[in-house]
Amino acid sequence: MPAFWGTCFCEPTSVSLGIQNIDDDSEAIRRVLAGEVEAYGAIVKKYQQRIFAAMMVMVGSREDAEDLTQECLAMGFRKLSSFEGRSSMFTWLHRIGMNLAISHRRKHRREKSIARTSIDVAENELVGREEPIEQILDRANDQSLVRSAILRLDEQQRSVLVLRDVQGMDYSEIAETLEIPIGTVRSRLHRARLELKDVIELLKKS
Amino acid sequence: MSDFHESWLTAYLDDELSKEERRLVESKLEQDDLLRELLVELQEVRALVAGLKDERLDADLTPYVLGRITQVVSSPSIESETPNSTQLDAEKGSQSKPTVVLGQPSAPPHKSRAWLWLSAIVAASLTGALFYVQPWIDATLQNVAIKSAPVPSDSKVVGSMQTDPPIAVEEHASKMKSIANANAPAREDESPVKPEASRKLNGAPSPAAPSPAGDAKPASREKSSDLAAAGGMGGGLGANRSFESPTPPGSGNGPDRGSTASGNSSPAASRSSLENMKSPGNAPSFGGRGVRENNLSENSKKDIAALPDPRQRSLDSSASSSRFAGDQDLLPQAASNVFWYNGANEPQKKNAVQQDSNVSPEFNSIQRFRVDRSITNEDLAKWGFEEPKLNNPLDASKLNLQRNLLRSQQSIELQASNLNSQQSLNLILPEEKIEELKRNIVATGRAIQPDTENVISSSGQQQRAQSNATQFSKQLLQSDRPPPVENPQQLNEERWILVEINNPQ
Repeated sequence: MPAFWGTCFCEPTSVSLGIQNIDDDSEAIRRVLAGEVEAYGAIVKKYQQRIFAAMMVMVGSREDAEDLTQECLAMGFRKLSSFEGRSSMFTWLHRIGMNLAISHRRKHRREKSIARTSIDVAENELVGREEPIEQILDRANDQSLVRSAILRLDEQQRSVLVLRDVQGMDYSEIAETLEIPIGTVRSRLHRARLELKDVIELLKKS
Repeated sequence: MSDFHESWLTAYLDDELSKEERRLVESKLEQDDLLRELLVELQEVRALVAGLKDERLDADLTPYVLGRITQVVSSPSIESETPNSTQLDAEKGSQSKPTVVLGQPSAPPHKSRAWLWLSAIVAASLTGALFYVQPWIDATLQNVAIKSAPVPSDSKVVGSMQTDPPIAVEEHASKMKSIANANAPAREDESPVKPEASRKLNGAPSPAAPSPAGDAKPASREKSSDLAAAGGMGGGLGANRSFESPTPPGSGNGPDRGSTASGNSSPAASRSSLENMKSPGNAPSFGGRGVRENNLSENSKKDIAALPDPRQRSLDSSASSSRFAGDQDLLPQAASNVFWYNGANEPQKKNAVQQDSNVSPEFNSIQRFRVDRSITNEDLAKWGFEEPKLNNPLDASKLNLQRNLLRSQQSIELQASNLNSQQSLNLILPEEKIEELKRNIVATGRAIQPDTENVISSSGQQQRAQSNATQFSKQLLQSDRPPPVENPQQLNEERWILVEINNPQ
C-alpha cells in the first residue's frame, strides 16, 4: 500500500488506491487525491495532446475532439479515486476517451443519421457528390482522406486502429484499454486495416 | 502450435507474434503470393494511418479542464461527492487553495426529490383518509339523531333523559304512550310508589300540566350534539330532564334534548363530545339532576320546533337498535337483565346490528327515559325490547366494562364498551343491587363487586369485568364521587328505561 495512503484519506475505505504503475504520475495523483486540484494540471498538460490526437481521428472534428479531450480529462479527475494503478495513466485516460468518443459518435450518428461505415455506404456516399472526383482523388493522398476513411470504420475497429497506429500502443495496452482479449485486438485490428484499405481504394477509384 | 490465421499478418507487421508464430507466417508468405500481396496492402494502410500528422491543439486545455473541475467541485452536487474536503482542508491548512477530495458519490439529487415525493404521497393518503372518515363520522352522527314520536297529552309516559335524544323514541314513545294509557291505572295501583311521588322527586310537572310546545318536537342530531357537547351523557351533563308529557297529539313526545350545559349544536362539538364519550374517563353517566322539560331554553325550543315531524322518521332505519332496562319493580322478572331492543319485527335489523357490532366501528348513543310505572314488562316486550343475548353482539372478550354512577344516585349503570366496535351496553341494576352499591359507595367509597358480577355472569367474563370494575371504582373516587344520599328509598322510586341506539355503519 502506498505510503501516502494515510495522508490522503480520512476514510480509507472510500478510496482504493493501489497505485503500482503510475510512475511519475504518482506524485501528481497523490496531490490531487490529497485535495489539490491544481496538481491535476500536470496530468492535463502531459496527456492532453495525445488524447486530442486520438480524439481527432476518432471523431474527425477539431471542435468535437477538443470537447471530448476536456471531457475526458475532467472525467479522469472525477474518477481518479477509482484509479487503481494497475494500468498506466495514459492507458486509463485513453479508455475514458475511447468510451467518450464512441458515445459521442453514436449520439452524433443518431442525430445526423449517419449510416455505419462500409464499402457500400462509402460508395453510395461518393455517388452523386457535387465535389469533383478529381478533388476527391487528390484528397485520397491527403491525410484527410485517410481520416475520412477511418471515420467510416465502426467504433470497435476504429478504436483499435487509433490506439495502435495513432497512439502507438502495443496489443496488450490496447487490450487493457479496451478491456478485450489480445486475440480480439489482433483480429479486430486486422479487419480494420482491411476495411480501411478497401475504403481508401474505393475512394481512390471513385 | 495454433493454426495460421490471416490476422497473423497484421500482428506480423506490428511485431506482436511469438517466434514460432512469426516463423510460421514467414513460411506461409514464402509459399503464398496472395499473402505477400495482402501483407503489402496492410503495410501500406498501416503506414497511411501512422503517417497521419498529429493534429495539434490550438491552445492549452489545462485552464479549461481545471476550470471545469473547479466549477464542478464548487457546485453543491459535487461538493456532496467530497465529504472529506473540510477535514482535508483543515489538515493541510491550505484554505486558500481549491481543494477537493474524491470519494464515493453521495446520494444523488433525486434522492432528496424522492423524499419530497414520499411526503406528498403520505399527505395525499392522510387527506384521503380524512375524506373517508369524515362521511363515516357524519353518518354516525346522523344515526345518533333523535327520533321522537308524538305522544298525546294524556300520556302517562314520564321521561327523564339526559342524553340528547337519539332515541328511537319515535316509535318507543308512541308505544309508551299507548301502553301507558292502557295500563296506567292498574300499574299505578301495583306500584309501590305513586307516579306523583316520582314526579315530586324529579320535580316534574304534573301530568295534567301542559308541556311546552317545544318539547313535543323530536330531537335533532344537532341537539344530540348539544347534549353530547354538554358533557356527553356523563355526570357533567346535568341535562337529565324528567318529563311527564301531556303533549298534544302529533306533537311528539320527544326525548328531552334540553341541553342546559351547552346550546352549541355544531357538528364539531358533537363529534368532540362523542369522542369524549368513547374514552373511559368520559364515560357517560345519567344524572338525575337534569333540567326539566319546561326549563328548556328558548333556543332549544326553537330548535326542537324546527325539527321535522318525527312521525316521518322511520324506526326501521337499519342503523338503529336500542335496548333498555327498567326498574326492578317495573321489570320484576328481568330485574337483573338488560333488555335489548332489536326491532321486534325486524329480524334483519337485528342481524345487521349483530354483524356490524362485530366488525364495524360504531358509536352508541345511550338514551335514558323515565317511564311510567304502569308500563309492564310485557308491554316492553311488545315494543320490541327483548332480553339481550350477550353472546352477541357484545363479544365478552372485547368488553371493557365501565361503570357510571348516576349523580342522582338513582341507579347504577354499567356500561360495557367494546373498544373495537365502540359498542356499549348499559344496565340498570336491580334495586337491591343498587342499594348495595349505594351503601358501599357512600359508606366506603368503593364500588361493590356484585354489581359487576351481575353483568359478567351473562357475559362469562367475570374476571376481566372485576378488574375493570376495580379500575373504575378508583376513577370514581377521584373524579365523580356522588354526593351523599339522604334518602335512598326515594331514589328507588325513579324508574328508568335505558335505550341505547346502535348505529352500525
